[in-house]
Amino acid sequence: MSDKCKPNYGACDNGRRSVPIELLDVAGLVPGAHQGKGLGNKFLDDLRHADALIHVVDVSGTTDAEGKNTRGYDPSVDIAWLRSEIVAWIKGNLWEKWGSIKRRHIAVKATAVETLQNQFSGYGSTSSVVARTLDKLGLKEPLEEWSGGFLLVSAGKACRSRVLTGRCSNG
Amino acid sequence: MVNAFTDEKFPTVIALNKIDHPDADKNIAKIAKMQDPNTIVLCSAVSEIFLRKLAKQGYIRYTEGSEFVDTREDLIADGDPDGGGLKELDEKNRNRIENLKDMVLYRFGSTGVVQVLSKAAEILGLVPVFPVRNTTTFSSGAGDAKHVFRDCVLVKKNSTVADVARKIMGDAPIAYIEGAGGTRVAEDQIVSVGKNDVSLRSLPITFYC
Repeated sequence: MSDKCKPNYGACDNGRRSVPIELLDVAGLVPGAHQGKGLGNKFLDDLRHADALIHVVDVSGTTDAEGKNTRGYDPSVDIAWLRSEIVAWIKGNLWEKWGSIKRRHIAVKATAVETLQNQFSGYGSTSSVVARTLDKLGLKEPLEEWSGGFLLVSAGKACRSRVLTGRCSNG
Repeated sequence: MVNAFTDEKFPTVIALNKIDHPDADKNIAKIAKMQDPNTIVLCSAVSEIFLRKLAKQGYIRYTEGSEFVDTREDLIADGDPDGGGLKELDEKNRNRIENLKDMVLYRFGSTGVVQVLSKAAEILGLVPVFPVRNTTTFSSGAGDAKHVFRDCVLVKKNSTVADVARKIMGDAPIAYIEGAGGTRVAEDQIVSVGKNDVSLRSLPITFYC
């Protein structure tokens, strides 16, 4: 059977099938991207097409915060920083309009999933993603009583990491 | 809430690169304590590129993602007088290969580059689906009966039979769906690895997971 395996795309080597995955290289993330610095929201905009993110971190510690060659840089902060950038972006977009989102939520008697999915559809989210998020949190308070405190405040630091985003593709 | 949503929508693999660098160990140890170990993959991209280049030029035998590298000498020592038809390495590259085995392959099991992608597929719970035209030969039809399982699509976990059908066939109407042994299968059944050899009746397309 193994000899007859001849994929249209990818490869078959000793019974191991390789399936193509679409990779997007996302460049230009700088601290404060969520506020529009650097490529800013353009960078973050690229992320939303992805199913998963791959954060490539230089663990040799030879690239410092400004991207210069050095030694002994601590790359562990880069991971928290990338994540805080994404969280701050989503939070910022939401919080900016929270007043009117809340008013509409109450006026049309929407469910929390409906209201949030309206806001998150732009990130490539679906109702089931939002529903799973809320299930995991098990929040007691209704949406209209939520405050800014349910979000993390971000803290940023520069680094030179590359982010690859993976997306599954046909074939 | 935004944190939880970020976890759901943007699952992230942390690829720790340049693991062969002398300072890497302490940084890896620190990050391993801070992050979910299941999201971390150790890798050396420069090693993978080097191995692929030498393999392509006919100096070594290397399967991408594996820990095994064979040189002409290795194969001759294993009893192949022709050395697998490989070319002789020069001193510099032979040393580099030995170094790379010690610093990367034997310590970490692979260069980790292929594993980064496998890990991404794993955290997404992607299910490989093999659409075939013929359920006895597993061929793709169109006059090609010699080869099997020519196509493979990845679907997200918790996809149903109907989701997969739509992905493969578009909006073509489905008359009914058959499972192994000819039993009917509901279209809201979840596909997963090793489950649901399904045949969609309307167009003769079948898929295997």
